[in-house]
Amino acid sequence: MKIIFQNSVLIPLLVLILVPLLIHLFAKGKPPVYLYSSIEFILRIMKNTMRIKKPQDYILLALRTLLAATVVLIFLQPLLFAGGKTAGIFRKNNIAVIVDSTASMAFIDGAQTRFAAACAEASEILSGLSSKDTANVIWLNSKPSSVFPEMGVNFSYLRDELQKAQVTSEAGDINEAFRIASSMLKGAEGRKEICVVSDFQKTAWDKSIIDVPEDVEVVKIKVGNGEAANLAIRSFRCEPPHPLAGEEISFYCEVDNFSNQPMQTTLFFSVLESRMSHEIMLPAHGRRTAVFKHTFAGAEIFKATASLKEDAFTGDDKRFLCVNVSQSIRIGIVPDEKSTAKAWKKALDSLSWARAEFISEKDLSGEIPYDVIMLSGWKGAGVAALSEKLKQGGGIVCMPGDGADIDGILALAGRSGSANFAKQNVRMEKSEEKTHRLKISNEKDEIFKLFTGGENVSPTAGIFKARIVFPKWTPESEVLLSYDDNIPALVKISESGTFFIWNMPLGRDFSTMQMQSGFLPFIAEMILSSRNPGKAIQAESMEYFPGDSMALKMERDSLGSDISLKDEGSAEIPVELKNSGGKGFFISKPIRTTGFYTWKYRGRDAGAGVVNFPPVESDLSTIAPELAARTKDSVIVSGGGDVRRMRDGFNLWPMLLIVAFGLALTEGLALLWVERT
Amino acid sequence: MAKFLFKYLKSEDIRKLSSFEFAPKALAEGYLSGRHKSFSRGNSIEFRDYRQFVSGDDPAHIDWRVLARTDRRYLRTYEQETNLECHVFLDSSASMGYGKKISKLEYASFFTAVLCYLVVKNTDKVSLQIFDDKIRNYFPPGSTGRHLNSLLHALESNFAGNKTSVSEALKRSFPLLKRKGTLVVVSDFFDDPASIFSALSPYLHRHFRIHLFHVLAPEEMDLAEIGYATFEDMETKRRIVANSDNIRKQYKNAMDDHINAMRQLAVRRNVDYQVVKTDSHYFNLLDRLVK
Repeated sequence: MKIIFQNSVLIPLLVLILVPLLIHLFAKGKPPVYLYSSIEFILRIMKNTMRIKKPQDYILLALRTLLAATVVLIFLQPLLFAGGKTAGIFRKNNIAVIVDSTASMAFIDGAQTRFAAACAEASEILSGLSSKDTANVIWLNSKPSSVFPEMGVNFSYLRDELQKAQVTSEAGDINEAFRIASSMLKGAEGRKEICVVSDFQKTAWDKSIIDVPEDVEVVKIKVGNGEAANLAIRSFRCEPPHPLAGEEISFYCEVDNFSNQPMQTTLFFSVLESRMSHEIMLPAHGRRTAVFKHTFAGAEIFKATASLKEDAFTGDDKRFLCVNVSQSIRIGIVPDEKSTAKAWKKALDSLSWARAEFISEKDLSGEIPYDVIMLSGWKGAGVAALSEKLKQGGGIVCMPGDGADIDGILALAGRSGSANFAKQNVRMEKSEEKTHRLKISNEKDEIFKLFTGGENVSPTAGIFKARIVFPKWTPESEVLLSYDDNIPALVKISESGTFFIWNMPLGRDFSTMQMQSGFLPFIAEMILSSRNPGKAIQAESMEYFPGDSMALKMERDSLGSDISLKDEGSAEIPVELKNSGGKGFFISKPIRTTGFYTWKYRGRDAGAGVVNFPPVESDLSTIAPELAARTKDSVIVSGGGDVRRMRDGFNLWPMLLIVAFGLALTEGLALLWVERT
Repeated sequence: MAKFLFKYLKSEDIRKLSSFEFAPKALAEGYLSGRHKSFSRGNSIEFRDYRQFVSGDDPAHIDWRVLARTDRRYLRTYEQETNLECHVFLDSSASMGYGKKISKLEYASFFTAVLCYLVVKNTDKVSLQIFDDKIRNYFPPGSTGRHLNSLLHALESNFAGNKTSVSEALKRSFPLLKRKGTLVVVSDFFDDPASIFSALSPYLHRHFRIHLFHVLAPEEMDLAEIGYATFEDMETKRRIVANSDNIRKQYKNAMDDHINAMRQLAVRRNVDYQVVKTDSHYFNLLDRLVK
């Protein structure tokens, strides 16, 4: 706290405070002498009443001194500044107001949304600025932006913008908002201040540390009051993520309860004409997962919706999912080692849902248009494209070629730097006399699920005359098949995608496995398994969040007018053509609302995507401002009015006038009391 | 007789006193058979009471008729008439000098002069003791005009002196009084009531009739509206700063307590006690002493 006197020239008047003190001392100092017959009684009385009388005198003295001080202070016109800040009336103020417009601000706290309250507070902050000050408003959302490109003086326009503003369904980029605010204040003369008006939602603000320049003050104003019960659909996905027509699909829907009470609700699932529901009981601050099963007959992109009964916060009660159902799996085989490649191709050709074709090493560049890549006798070609494929959740079956560098194989498998192997090249071992048989090393893997049903087929049937010599593989759980001398025969690495190391050379010269009845189902299960990476991928960039721009890559050259993006109500979203590698790459304007969106190419469907509510915004609980976005030091105030008072100072004279009246009245009453006693 | 040129004895007072007769109600112990009743039994025609004969009594006083009728020996006792001795104690301490229109000492001197005149006029004896913390002046009992002149001159030359000590003065005076009589003490009694009555005890044992006249100025009864002032004690010269407005109530209570203490002790000891303010006429004091 600091006080400044506007009429400091009158400070010498403070000596008037001494007047009552002096009067008190001197008025009693030399009273007239009065000769009296005997003062025995007076002495006795004074002795008895001294303890009562003295405080009365001192109370009167204190009251009169305070009264004199108050009257003098009224003339001095003091201004009170909170936190010792006195810059307000003497320096230029530069204030960047960050207004939280994220999805959680849509919650109705009391009579209005948190966002409306935040805008009102921000408007209050701006209302007291003078013509020499500058200000700007920065919206905190997924892509923070400011109203003015730089600090401006048109405060009425800023207030209009605050009045017209709408809350978004987006998550917020706090660091970016502070960065924009700091950059705007950089170079400004005078006092610099960032005012953050937010609900300080726990999931978004907790543990975040913001770096602001030394000369910038940070003021935090909290809107909303803490706990808010909410049910939300956290995630909605299907397995397999790339299903085939006729294949049963499991839709997993996770529901969160952000409240202190157990809650019961109904979860609805709808796709095409089908509609299902589940009653679910959610524990306090708990989560439940519901599963819906569905099978699609045709191959196209289907739109599935999961929804909850509406609660107080509706944004996260619905979630959308695009399911891209394929007619078949496209498999590209690189036949560097021809006999094995032929065996693969022959087997896959007999599967109705697989469409295998030979491709060359040249095709292993850019975006590979196959669901599964099978590399026979691979020696390191197309590592970058293959790694990208794996990252996208694709499947790769790789049989290393003789003399291939094991580091390359490990790098492709995402194990570079691993100490699992000694540095060496792989070596093909072939022997007519010494044959080997296979055994299952990890029978729990889903590939072998089919073979545990009692059918008289085995994936391990067959004799091998040749194989690649591998050292012992760790972890052992990744080895699905191994030879009788524990040399790994099939290794499965499931990370972002699925990578198989195939150490089973096929062909008449190498083995009899391809002639066994168990070979075809084994190959089929392996291919199905390779395009099923679990939770790692989710409909590959078909899901967006509010504020994101949707993107579409066209295989063929297209004009901008050929492509459009439409929402569920067929309203068109502006898109922009960007060239990428000679092919059409379209990107939309940021999308603000959740729902299904469909790409159209000359009127026909060319792709789809969903915009879902950001899960981070569902937990509406808040934290104390001092715990949010920790900066070097910040000031916490309760409202925009406080910010204004902190900046301009609180004019104390009206309050002092009231105090003076009160003191005068009290002095009068005290005098009456003293006289009466 | 005096020429009536005395300060404290005015001619109009003498005229008024012509119809007064000094007559305290209690019996006096005198050396002459006079008009005042005395408990000293002796030869007289005034029958008082019977009492049983005890060894040592004069058999001449036995009532033979009663003896004949009841076969018991009773003595007839008679009341004896005697003259009166009045002992006046005048407080002349510094505090008696207080008073706005008239000081307490002047007021007391007027009363003393009148009383002495009245006693001498009735051929009774009067003594005067002027005291403060000690006996400053003592006039033994006398009933002559010259004696009265001496007393009146002494009153005129009197002045307010030192500290009051009524009890001390009474103690010191007791050996000086040969015969019992009427004791009149005129003072402001700024002394401890218990010690005053303790000093009076020997007098009471000797059947003195005691009259205490408590002389106070009206400003002492109710503290004057002086406001903030340094009160200086006229006797001790001690000073204290006080606001009379603030302490008036407590002062009045303290003064009332003092007077009440005096009054209670007086009633208990069968002593006549009267509070008198200097704004009342001193003749009022004679009501208790004349008939």
